[in-house]
Amino acid sequence: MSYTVVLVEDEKIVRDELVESINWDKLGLHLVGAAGDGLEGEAMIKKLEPDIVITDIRLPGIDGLEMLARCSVDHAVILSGHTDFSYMKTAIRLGVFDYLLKPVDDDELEQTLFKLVQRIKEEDSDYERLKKTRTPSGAELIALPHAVNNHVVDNAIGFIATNYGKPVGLQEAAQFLGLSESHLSRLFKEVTGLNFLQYLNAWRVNKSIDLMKDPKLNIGEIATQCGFPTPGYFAKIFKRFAGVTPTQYRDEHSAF
Amino acid sequence: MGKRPTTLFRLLLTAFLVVMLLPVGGLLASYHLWGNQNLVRSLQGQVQIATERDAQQIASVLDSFRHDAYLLSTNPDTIRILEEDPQWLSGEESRKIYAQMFLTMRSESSSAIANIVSNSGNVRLSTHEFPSDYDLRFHTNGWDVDNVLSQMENRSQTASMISIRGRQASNAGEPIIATIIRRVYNAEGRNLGYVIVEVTGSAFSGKLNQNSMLIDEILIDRDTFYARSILHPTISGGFDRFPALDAKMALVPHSYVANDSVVNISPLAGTELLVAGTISATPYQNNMQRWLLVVAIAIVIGSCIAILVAMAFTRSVDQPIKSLVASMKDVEQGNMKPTAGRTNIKEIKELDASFNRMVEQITNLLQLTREEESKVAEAERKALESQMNPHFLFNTLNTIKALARMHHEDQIYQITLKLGKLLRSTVDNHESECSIEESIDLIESYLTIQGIRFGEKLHTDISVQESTRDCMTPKLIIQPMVENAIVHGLEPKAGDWHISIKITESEGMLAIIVSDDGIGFDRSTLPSNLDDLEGSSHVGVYNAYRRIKMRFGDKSRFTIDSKVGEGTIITMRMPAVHQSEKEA
Repeated sequence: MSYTVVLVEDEKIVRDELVESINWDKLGLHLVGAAGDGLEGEAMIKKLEPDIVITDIRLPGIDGLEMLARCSVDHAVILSGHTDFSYMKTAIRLGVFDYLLKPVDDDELEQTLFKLVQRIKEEDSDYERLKKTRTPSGAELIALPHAVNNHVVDNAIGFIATNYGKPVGLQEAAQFLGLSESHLSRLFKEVTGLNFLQYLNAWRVNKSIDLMKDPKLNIGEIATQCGFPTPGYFAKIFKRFAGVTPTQYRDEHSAF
Repeated sequence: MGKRPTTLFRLLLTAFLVVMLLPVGGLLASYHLWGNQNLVRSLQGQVQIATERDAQQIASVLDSFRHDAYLLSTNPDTIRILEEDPQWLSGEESRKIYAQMFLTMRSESSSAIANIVSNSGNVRLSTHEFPSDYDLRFHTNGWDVDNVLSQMENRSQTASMISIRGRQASNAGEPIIATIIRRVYNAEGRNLGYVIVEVTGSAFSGKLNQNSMLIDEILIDRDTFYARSILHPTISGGFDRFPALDAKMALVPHSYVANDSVVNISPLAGTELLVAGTISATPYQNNMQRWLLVVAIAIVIGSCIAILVAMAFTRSVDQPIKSLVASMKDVEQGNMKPTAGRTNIKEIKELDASFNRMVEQITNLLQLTREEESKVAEAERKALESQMNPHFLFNTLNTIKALARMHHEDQIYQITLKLGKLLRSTVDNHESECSIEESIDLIESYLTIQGIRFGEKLHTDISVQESTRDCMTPKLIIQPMVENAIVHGLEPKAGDWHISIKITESEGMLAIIVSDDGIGFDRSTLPSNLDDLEGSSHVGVYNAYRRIKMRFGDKSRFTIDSKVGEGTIITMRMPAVHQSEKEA
């Protein structure tokens, strides 16, 4: 299977060049869309739910960073002529994978994408592992460790348990715990074997399954109550864990 | 405090003079107050001792002759002959009486003259030649008050009388010091004549003034104020003949000072006479004055030496201090010059050294400030000049790159990318240092562009020891050298070009060697001290040199070797600072 990519770049020549020059197939990628401004990009991302977004910062409409923040993109690569510190900072906070400077060396971009694919594959294998440890009782879709005997990580899990319904992420948890994001992320992965975002999403998916038992709630409401920014994103994450979309899952399980 | 500051010279001189003059002044004062008294007292003591000793000698000599006179006057032969009072003595009588006389006088007949005279003057006997003074045939006793016989009349009738007022000298010319006279009586008590013993100077010779201290010894007859010198027997008479004698002072035994002489009067045992010993204080006072003169000369010489030493010392201290002060004033006025410091005095050398260090630091600081200022000005100028937004530049390069790629113009694509990197490193990099890794990236970008420009002519060889990749150096020190090599060394050269960059590390020192086989240049056209390149057209070399020097100081080396027609080698050595070490 290949991962989907959306490219957002306002200069047509540059955009076309990347579309043409980058050897997407070889990298295991599938370019599903290319947008020319921030708003178009936002719509395209929400619609296509790509695995990877490649974007410029300075864009007509809204800038690339704002666009990423609105769409809860998991993996992004930035191509920019700017090296402003505030841009860099925001990019890091959004969990941007890499920040390439213009003029962009295509080889360098391909290398970056290659590494990013490796990373996503690792994460997927983590999800697979989680799926296999599914408890037969079916009380919980994903078996998550609730107490790991580590004060900091237990507190982080506590934070997730309380706040999963709000649009929170690593940044908010780190702030709450008084740690740096990178430190929390590293520690969390070491102790639980999952990265923080995976754990949070898994928690949210578990909660969504509880909510699905209530027939009065539609999928969109469930997504919002579980802290997913969009129903599409909810569906994508849910499918990763459950192998089926939320609607299919509900259909299968509402039979009895 | 309106007090005028004193000079070092005056202070030193005062100190020297005080040290020297205090003891000398004390000596002078004590001499002035007590010196003369002490001298006189000491001289009086010595005179007294000498005089008293000599008085005993004189007394014993006179006593012995008085005994002789007694023996002669009581000798039966003398009495008999004077009783007979013959006009002429027979030969036998004569021989007998002379024998008696010489027997009595014994060997002393050489130092004394014994005379016997009868009242009539008929008998006149003498161990030598009878003196006419006592010839009673021509003189009566009362005719001459100075005559001893006249004096005798006022005296005791039986005892001997000792007088100093007898005749002055014997017929032979020998001085006579004292005359002893005694009457001769027969058994019935009738006065028959006189025995007169005249004591000559030779009786005392060798017995008096043995340490030759006294300048005179004088016998004094206090009844008649008559005096006679023993040491100079020709001098006799009233006190006026002896400056040391004083009618008021000379009549009782004591010591006194008169006319620069120290005098001691001692009694002469068994006689009515006194002995005066005199000593002149003048030689002693002269001696003392000579000594004072020596002291005065010593003071003068000492003062001169003090002045000279003070001057020399002042010069040795004052000169360096003055030159230091002059240097300080120079520095005050902004002329940053170290002091020459020609001194051998350790303390002042240290002062000079720290002053020079201070000046050096101030100079460095000023230079740094000036450099910073000029950099700021330069940056402002650049900012004003290039109103062009660098992002526009980068975006444009990005577009060119995209076009090149789409049109399969690979060289344009490469040049655009590398040029972008080069520009990035200058525009975006605000750090003063970068790692060797970053430097090498930059150089590779640069060489890629140049490689495209010059094609196959340019052969590059970059060799970097792996451990040096994280070494931190001031930024932009290698690339400008590479650029120099290409622009100045290789571009004018026909044929193939070779440039080599070699980076190694050994014993904590990083070595960066940039060499080319270009046209080279005459090394002597560059100053040996690269500091002198400031302001010259060799901006690249100077800036790189300055950056290294400012970062590593004297631990760094920057050498340029070049030969016309062979090429240039630039070697930069500096301590290897690994990034990991720096963070730790």
